[in-house]
Amino acid sequence: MLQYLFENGKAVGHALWEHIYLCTTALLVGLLISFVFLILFYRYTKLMDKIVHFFNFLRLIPGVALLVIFMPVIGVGFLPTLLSLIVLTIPTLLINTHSGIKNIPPEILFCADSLGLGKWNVLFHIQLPIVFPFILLGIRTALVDLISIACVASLMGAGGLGRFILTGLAINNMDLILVGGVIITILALFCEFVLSAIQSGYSKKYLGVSK
Amino acid sequence: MKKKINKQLCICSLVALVLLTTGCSSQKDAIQIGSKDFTESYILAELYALTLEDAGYQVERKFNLGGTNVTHAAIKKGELDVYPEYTGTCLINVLNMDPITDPDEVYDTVKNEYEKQFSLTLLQPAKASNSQGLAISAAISEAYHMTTISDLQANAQNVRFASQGAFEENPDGMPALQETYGEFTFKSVEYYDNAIKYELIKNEQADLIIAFTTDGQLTDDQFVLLEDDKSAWPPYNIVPVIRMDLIERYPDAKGALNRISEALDNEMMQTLNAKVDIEKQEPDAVAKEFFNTLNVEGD
Amino acid sequence: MDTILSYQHINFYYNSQKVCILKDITFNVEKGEIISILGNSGSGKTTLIKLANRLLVPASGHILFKGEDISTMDTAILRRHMGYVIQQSGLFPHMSVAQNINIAARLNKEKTYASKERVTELLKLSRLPCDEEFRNRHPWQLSGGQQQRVSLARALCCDPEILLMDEPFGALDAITRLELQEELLQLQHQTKKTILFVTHDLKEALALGNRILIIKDGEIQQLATPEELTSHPANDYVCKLLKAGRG
Repeated sequence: MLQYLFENGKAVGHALWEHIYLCTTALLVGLLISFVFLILFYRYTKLMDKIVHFFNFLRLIPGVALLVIFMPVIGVGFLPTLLSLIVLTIPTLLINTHSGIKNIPPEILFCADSLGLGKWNVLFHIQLPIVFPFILLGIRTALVDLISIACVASLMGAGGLGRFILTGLAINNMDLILVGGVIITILALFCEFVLSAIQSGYSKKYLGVSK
Repeated sequence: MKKKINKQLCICSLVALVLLTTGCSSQKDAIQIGSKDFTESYILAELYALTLEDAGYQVERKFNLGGTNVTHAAIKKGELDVYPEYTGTCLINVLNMDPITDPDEVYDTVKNEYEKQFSLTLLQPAKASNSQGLAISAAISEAYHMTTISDLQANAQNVRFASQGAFEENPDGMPALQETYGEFTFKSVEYYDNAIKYELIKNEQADLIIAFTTDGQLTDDQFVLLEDDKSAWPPYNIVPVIRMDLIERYPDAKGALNRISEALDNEMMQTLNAKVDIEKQEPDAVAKEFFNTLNVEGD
Repeated sequence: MDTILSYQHINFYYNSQKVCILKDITFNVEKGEIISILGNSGSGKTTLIKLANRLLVPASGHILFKGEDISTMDTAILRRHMGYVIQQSGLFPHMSVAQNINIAARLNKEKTYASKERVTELLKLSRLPCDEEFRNRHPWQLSGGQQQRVSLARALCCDPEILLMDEPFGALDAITRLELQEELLQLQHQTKKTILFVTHDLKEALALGNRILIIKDGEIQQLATPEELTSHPANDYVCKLLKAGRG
């Protein structure tokens, strides 16, 4: 495996960059859209509950399957694949943020309202900072999902490390499978580690939780 | 209570017995036929299966296994007994030898080496040769006057290449091309799944794709098959690769399989492929229909 | 005498007209007085004060704040005139003590109330330490009593005219409760705030209130000074209540 890496370092590096670029872009845009969605609907609790319920059901369908289902409709190439991936992150992000918001002790919201802060101040200064660990949890989950689902992206002209795994499987070449598989695993573990550290650091410092 | 348990026990042991016997029988008697993961391979493998069944043998179908490496490894191990292969693939991918242009020479070389190295042999080759190739959009071909692969190499910077992972890695893919024609610096290279390659040209998302010379879609004017003017690729005649011990066990299998090889030329193969890839029929239905016409004609 | 808050024929229903929580509530609150609102659970006492800052809206009737109908006022502005303290303190865990205290002032860009000096003033008023270390503590690093004091300081930050307090000392131990009752009286003496104090404890009600409002099943039983209550109880229920409280 190391020999293959050595000989094809440039190609592997390029694929790694493509993979990271694809996943981070999908995540950031997904976050943005989730955020807008949240702001528009967060006070309509019954509606949000129904939407989150629907998303929970959607998450039962494996992301890879959804990607393949979208393909004939959306097409292939970088942008369509990115679009599909964005759509796949939104449920995870929304579900976690919503769950966090619902878990805020009611007396805190009560006091915030009583102070006459106004609903936007309450959202941005009270609710979101308290919910931040949940948001981070959503990001963690979504990112790790994205990194693995993006392996299929290589079949759709979007590049990425999946090419090595899938080609390796097709031509029965273990080196290729390992190159793709090991790098993706390291990438996922790295993201998980960093975000987890941020999450527990924040929780400890600001919320007194030793999670 | 006791009656119920007894009944359940009976049913369980009956089921186990049935499973055992069928399991045993398939291991002992059935001929294992494999195929790779594309249309033509499914059709050929199904034809082999039908002809062997017609000759009275029990057959186990193990289709859609993957690429050459997978099928070759499987047949060496004895997990397959026969599968459809291409003489050129054997020469370059399996034996890692240099290309040879004469079809008979390719066949003889491969047969000898296979018998020597793997206890495998080749039966009668078909006239049909499904070579690796490159297909380009007719529009681009006209614009830059590209009809051969040498033309392509000279104009590569104007061409968007829709490649595949396997093509990059296989010895008879990009490596073979580069050895014969030199470096290709394309305008862009992206990787896609084999199933959507012709769509990519149709949707103008790519200009150049990997083609197989018997692809059904090549009957369409939109696509131009570039000529392999410097013979990077050898002939790829369709041939059954078979375990030598299988022929010893079932001598009639040889004749049955050769019937198929005799009936196949490039045009026929392209037509059969087109039925699946363009008309969207099922490979086994297409194979069955074709096999029935063979039977009607008689031996 | 200056009426600062006036309830006029307030009716409140829970679960859209099915259960009546408050029936025809009418009474006035004078500026600078402490009214103890005394009742059992389910009597409607919490609902009563939530109507004052429009956390709840009545089915019918009006509430006037300084003569103005509160339904016509901007809710956020109305609430800044009223401080609210609850039993669970409701401090914001991600903010320090100082940040909790002056959050309303900071977000409403009121510089004087948001200043460090103002926080110091409020900490002193609430009998809390004024040093940096304490200011920077987070709520989960405080005792129950300290949390309630900070909650009070927070409620007082923008100098509201009225304090609404819903069983604020209910979760504390007996000694701390007595301390805080004392301190509340002293604070009120200093600042002359009008306070509506909800409780189910007769002793607490009598100790704190200039007047006691006794409420049962959503109806006012009696609103009177402690002396008047004991000498002229309005009905059997008030009698029983006083007797039970004393025992």
